[in-house]
Amino acid sequence: MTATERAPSAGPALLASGLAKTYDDRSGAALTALTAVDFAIATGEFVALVGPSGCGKSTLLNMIGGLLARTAGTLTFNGDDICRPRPEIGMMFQAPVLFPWRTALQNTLLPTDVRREKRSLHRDRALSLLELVGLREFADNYPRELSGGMQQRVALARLLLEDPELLLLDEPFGALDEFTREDMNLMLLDIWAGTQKTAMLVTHNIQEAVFLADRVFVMSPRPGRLVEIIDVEMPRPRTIEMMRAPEFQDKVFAARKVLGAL
Amino acid sequence: MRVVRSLGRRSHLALTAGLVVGTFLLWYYLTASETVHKVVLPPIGEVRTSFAEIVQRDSFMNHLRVTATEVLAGFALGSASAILVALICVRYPGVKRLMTPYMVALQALPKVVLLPLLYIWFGVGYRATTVMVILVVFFPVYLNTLTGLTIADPDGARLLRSLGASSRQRFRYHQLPSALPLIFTGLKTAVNFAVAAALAAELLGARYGLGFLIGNSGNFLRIPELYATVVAAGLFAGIVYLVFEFLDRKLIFWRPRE
Repeated sequence: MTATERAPSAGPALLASGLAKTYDDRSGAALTALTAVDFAIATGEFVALVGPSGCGKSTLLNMIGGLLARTAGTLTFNGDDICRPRPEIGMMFQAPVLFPWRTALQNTLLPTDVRREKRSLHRDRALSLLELVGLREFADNYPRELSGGMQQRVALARLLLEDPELLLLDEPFGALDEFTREDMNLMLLDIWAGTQKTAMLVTHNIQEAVFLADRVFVMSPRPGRLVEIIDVEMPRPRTIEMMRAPEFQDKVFAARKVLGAL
Repeated sequence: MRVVRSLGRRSHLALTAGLVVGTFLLWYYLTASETVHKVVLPPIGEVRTSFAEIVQRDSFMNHLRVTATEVLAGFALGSASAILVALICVRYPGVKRLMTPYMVALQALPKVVLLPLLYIWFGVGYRATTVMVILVVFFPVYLNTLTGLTIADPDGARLLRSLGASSRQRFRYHQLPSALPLIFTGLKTAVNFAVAAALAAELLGARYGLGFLIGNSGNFLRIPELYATVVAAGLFAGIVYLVFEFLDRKLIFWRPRE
């Protein structure tokens, strides 16, 4: 599949309008985490979400993942209201969240256990996913025998097991060192480019956001709002060399300016 | 301490072995030179002979069987009920709040002082001893299970929820296995308590068991036999400990270790 064919063309997959989330804090006062969030994300699009800490990025992701109820607004995926976790939407977190009593393969097969299906039915797929993330020969190793980057790759294989249409990535490589992180980003781009998946990535790193995404959503601090959407418009497949290009630097600077002005 | 810490594994083993040999040499010297009276410390050879003679008696095996049965039965009943109560308390916090005053009171009370009462209720013998074992086993298992069930990583719960797992599945795949290392720590503590409690209960009032043998040898000033029975009790406790340590290593293989 070439880069041009892969450009987002289908209708919106994820739609949010007037989305808001209010918490009650300990004293009972209302705390607005997120207010008036509107966006439409097309099928196959890669969106990055940047913003200062506490701007509600994770709150937004948890709502899309169906883990958190919204206070107001509408939120739909392929036309269906999102009110609980759905198999077409997969989540990945900053921590790999592997269970230490399960091998890499058994961790990859966790979704199978939750669905009460036979592991043997999905074993081959799990092994090929471990192969895809370069861990085929570590299938029977326990997490403590794997490095942080390898653990996060197992988490990626687990995320892909159920073949979700929408990937919600909550700073998945934020805890890794610079080089590992770059490798993981390229692997993620490869996997995303090879499928028709829609991706939404939360990150603190503006360069990373611009490098990976079709569009960068910039959010303001509490109460969280979507203040700017930056179209990246750089060709795919993307390479590390592109990070030196002036148009790349322009986009990074534009995002930084918005964030700096907040 | 710094010297000990900087020693290699080999020299560490040699030092440990040396200390053991040294202890026995000191024992030998103290008795051979009659620095210490025979009643206080019998010669090592007499203890050895006495030990070899005691373990061959049929009655010894019967005493050992009584103690082992009390320990195992009390441990099984005490830990099973402790885990059950802890599970109920985690599931229904209201129950936990209701029970807390009783739990705190019973836990603070040194259980040995209940022995006279237990003898009155259950008679002097294996029943009272088993109940004593149940009492001392209960708390370490209950408290460790309770804590263990609350330490599961919230990210794991978040992941399972995002996969659509029910609360029962979250318990089975995450909360319970996360609690197992602590539950097993509780069980290991409890089994040591169980041996100690059984021996103490037998010492203070029973006609059978290793504890009774120890008390009896003491009462009749059969000093080598007293030492030999103490060694036998120590071996019994040591074997029980090693069995549980082995089980822990096999079952909780993911527990972080040095």
